[in-house]
Amino acid sequence: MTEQTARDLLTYLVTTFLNNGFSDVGTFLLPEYGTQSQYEQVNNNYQYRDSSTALQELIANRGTRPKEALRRLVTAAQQYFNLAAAIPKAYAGAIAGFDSTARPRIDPTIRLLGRDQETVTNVSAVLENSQVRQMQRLLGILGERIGEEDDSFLNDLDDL
Amino acid sequence: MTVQTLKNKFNRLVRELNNNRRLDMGFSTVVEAGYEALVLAQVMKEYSRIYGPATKVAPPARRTFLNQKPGQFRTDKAFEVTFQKGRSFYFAADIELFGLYCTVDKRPHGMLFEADIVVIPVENLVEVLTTFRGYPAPQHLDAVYECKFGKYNKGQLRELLGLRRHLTALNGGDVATRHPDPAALHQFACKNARPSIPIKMVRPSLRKFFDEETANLYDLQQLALF
Repeated sequence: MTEQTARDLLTYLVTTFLNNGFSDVGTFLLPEYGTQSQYEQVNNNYQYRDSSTALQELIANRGTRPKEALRRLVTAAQQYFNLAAAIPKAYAGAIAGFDSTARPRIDPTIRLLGRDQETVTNVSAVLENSQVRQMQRLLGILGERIGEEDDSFLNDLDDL
Repeated sequence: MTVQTLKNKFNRLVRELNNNRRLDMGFSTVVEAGYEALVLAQVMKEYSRIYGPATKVAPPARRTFLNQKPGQFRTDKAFEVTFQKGRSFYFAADIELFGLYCTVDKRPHGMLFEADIVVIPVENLVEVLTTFRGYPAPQHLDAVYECKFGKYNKGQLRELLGLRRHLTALNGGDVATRHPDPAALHQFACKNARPSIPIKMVRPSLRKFFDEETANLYDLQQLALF
């Protein structure tokens, strides 16, 4: 991917995430503390960065290192969508341990009761739908091909 | 494909993800709801670590326990689980809670705060449903969890501190380093809160949230569960 394309895509993706309710992707750009003890050693110095700020900072960095900034964005977005898509199976797996003693059996599908107290939405289906899989695939190709020197990766996106 | 075609493709995908006809909420809100379900199941597993394997489980009769609109506790939207050591609890989501004053007055009074997941000992059921009209008060709670899959902002610390103030008073000020306590929920014992209600912030992975002394003083714990 050329630096010009990386710069262009970075600006576009950040703006689209921010303007369409996906600023949560920015959370996965924030420092992560892998263990509880590491986290507990962090002092609160009020240098908070929220999800949106973390995304906006990427645009600020696009001038000098656009490919590195795009790689960080794509990695964060992959984490967000991969984890979201994995929720239904993780829930079904966690609840399965209780099923042998359950009467009636536990429904492994996640459902959400609407504000009207009648509409029930299949959350599992929303998180596993084809658009999520397409997004994962698109981000996967971008992530793999950022390091290339040209824009030939665009040819591999034709069938998406 | 050109860069512009890729942008159009991405734009269409983002709009389709948000275009759930049955929900007046975006994709990210659906993700947060799904994550609540997963955390509730993980909390039940943590209770079985402490109280032994589940011996009897009654799933929600309505086949769902997640609520787009938080409100009253209802048994048909909760898991009832009995554990081997003899304790039984209800596990419910999106419940509004009465505050500390109710522990003094013994009647429903004052404002309500929402909690993502609450755990209620079965022996408190009748009082919650009758005197308190389905809105549990601190004396009815065994544990409270806030779930954040993706959202992260400074206000979340204030949100959690507000929930702590709403539910408990503080006794003393022990900010000493906590050593893992296997008998406590997620190995983090409540030392200062009265009543002694654990309040946990749960995320898929830990993020810088509050300093150790603040967490210890207010008996707050951030957990990574997935």
